[in-house]
Amino acid sequence: MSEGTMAVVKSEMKSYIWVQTADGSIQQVEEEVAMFCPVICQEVLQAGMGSSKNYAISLPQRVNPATLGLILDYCRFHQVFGHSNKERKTFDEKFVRLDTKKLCELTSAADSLQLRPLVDLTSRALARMIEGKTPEEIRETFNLPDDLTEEEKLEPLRNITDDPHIRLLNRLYARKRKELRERERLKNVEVEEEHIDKRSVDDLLLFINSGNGDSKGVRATRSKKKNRGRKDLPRESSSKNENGNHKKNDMPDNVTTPIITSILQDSASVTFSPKLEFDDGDIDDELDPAMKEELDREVEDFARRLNSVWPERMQEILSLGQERRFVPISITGTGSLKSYTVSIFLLPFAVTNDVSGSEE
Amino acid sequence: MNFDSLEQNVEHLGGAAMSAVHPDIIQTHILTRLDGPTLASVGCASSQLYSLSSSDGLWQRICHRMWPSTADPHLQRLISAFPAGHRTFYFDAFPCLNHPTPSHNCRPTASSAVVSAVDIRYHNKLILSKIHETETESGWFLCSPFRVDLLDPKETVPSSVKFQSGEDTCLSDLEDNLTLNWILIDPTRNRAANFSSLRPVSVNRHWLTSDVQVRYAKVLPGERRGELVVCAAVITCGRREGGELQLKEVSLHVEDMEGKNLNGRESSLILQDAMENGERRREKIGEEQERYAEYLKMKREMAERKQRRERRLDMVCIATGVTLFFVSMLVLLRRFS
Repeated sequence: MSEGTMAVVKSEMKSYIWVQTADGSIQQVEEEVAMFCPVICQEVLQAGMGSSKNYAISLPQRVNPATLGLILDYCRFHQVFGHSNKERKTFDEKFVRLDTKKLCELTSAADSLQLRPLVDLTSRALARMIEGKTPEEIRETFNLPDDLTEEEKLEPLRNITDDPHIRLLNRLYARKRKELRERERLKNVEVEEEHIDKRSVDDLLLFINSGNGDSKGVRATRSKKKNRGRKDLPRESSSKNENGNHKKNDMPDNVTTPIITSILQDSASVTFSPKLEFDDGDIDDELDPAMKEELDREVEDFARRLNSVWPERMQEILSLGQERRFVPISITGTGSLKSYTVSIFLLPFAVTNDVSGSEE
Repeated sequence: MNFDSLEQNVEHLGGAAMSAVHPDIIQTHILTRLDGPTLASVGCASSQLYSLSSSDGLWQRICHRMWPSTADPHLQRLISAFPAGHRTFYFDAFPCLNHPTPSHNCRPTASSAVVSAVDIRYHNKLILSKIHETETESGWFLCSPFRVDLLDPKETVPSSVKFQSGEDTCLSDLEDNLTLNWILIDPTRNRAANFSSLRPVSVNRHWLTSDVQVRYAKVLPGERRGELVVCAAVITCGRREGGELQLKEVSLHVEDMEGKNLNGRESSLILQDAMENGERRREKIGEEQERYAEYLKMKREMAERKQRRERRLDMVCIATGVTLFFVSMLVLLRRFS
């Protein structure tokens, strides 16, 4: 519509304001609707912009055309005084039924336009979406990168949720930490950087606890560790042996349960490859970073294995009506890692097949 | 696997949705609406959220909402000395304390004081929120029975909340709707723990004054092997003329299996040990009741054993006495015959 025709038709037509989004497209918006936004209102009143196409109000960068459309819908509904509170609430509820990406964009757009009620509404919706989710679910919902070390992931949740899964992980982690510390003491190697990093975590990590529900799917395909030296240790061999034994124990299980076979084999292949990379046995001054990496890797590996097996195992157990058996296992916190995995994998299988215990 | 690569493609196209939202918005609008466990989960999701959720202000708000007594300035100073501030405090105090076996390391340093932060709610309305500091070094404290009293002997705390039930259902109503959070804080070691059970373990009417005594208990291991002690918090409440709830006494003490109150030295050792070495986990409903029932059972058995021992001792004494009597009679008869 050209300026001229608009000027001719007077009182019947509503007046329009021109706005320009970050990508350059210009569109018109009804004045009452646009005035609902403080930013646009300010521009019109103070700077006198928006009256024509050339003087279109340029909106902040975070507002793209799709989001602008949504915001205008919101403003259009709410600026009408006739609606009751109940109607507004129903509209709001329907309005925020968007996918997470759109909701996030809407939140940032509303914030840049200073539309406080819309920011509150969308934040509340996002908070509702986050509530009750495990970290893995949160990562999935919001497409976040999985870039924390295992330690950082486990740290806050330890005492709050009750996943037996995480309890085991935490125990493994705590035991490995103790070993690490003992080795440190024996070697008397001071790595200051380590100390500073670990201080708060150490304090929090003083107890072994009944853990928290985390990492249902620590299928962390990208396990980014912090940039430390990638040097190997003679101790690698002992842990390798442990892992090797795990694999041996897993093999007979694979024969009987086809569901788990592929997953275990996959995890086996995945874990073996990084180990092979570190085959140069150079003992080095920087023991701790490598140990930390080893620890992270072990925990991740354990978590992955546990994760892959756990849901299927639980289903099996529930169907066989032998849920109770898990309770004593997870509580017995003593014993070596081998006996843990052996007992976990073997006890339920004692029903289905005759796997004779340890083959180490 | 095809599915994986497809997923990855989608990810690359979509990008991180959260990065569309400015970190400030995340922190001021979204994270402030979450409760403790959810905030902890969020902190584990990615490194950006980890740093955002470690802000002390967020955890401070959560602590204040749960335990209004922590807003006290003195307590604020103590909590700020904790390793990660309010977050550590929350993780220490929010979950249920579980300390089945005593640890055997001797602690050379005793703490100078222990601070109690108490919040009482009835039907989810706050009726009392108070702090009390108990020093633990003086000789008087160490030798006398351990007891923390929040109210003075004649003091009563009126509340504006009416009793929501009649006389007869009063006890069960209190059992369901009166909640106590008694957090003990050890400033020297920067630990804290909640020593009250989720629900009361017993609700009784006092035989004389007809006030209701509500008891919350935490079963802890005693100093000797196999011994249990109970850290019990008792709330005595009565009804005012207008039907409102009135608190007459709020106290904490530690009892052993004979029902005797432990003295200050033993109690502080047990409580500090529990704070340092107890594990914290989510409380299961009824767990504390079970442990308390176990404690009562052990108490009864011990009393029975004691009674039996005394009866045996009595029999032995009587038998000896009777024997001596007969022997002396015989001796006398022999003398005279």
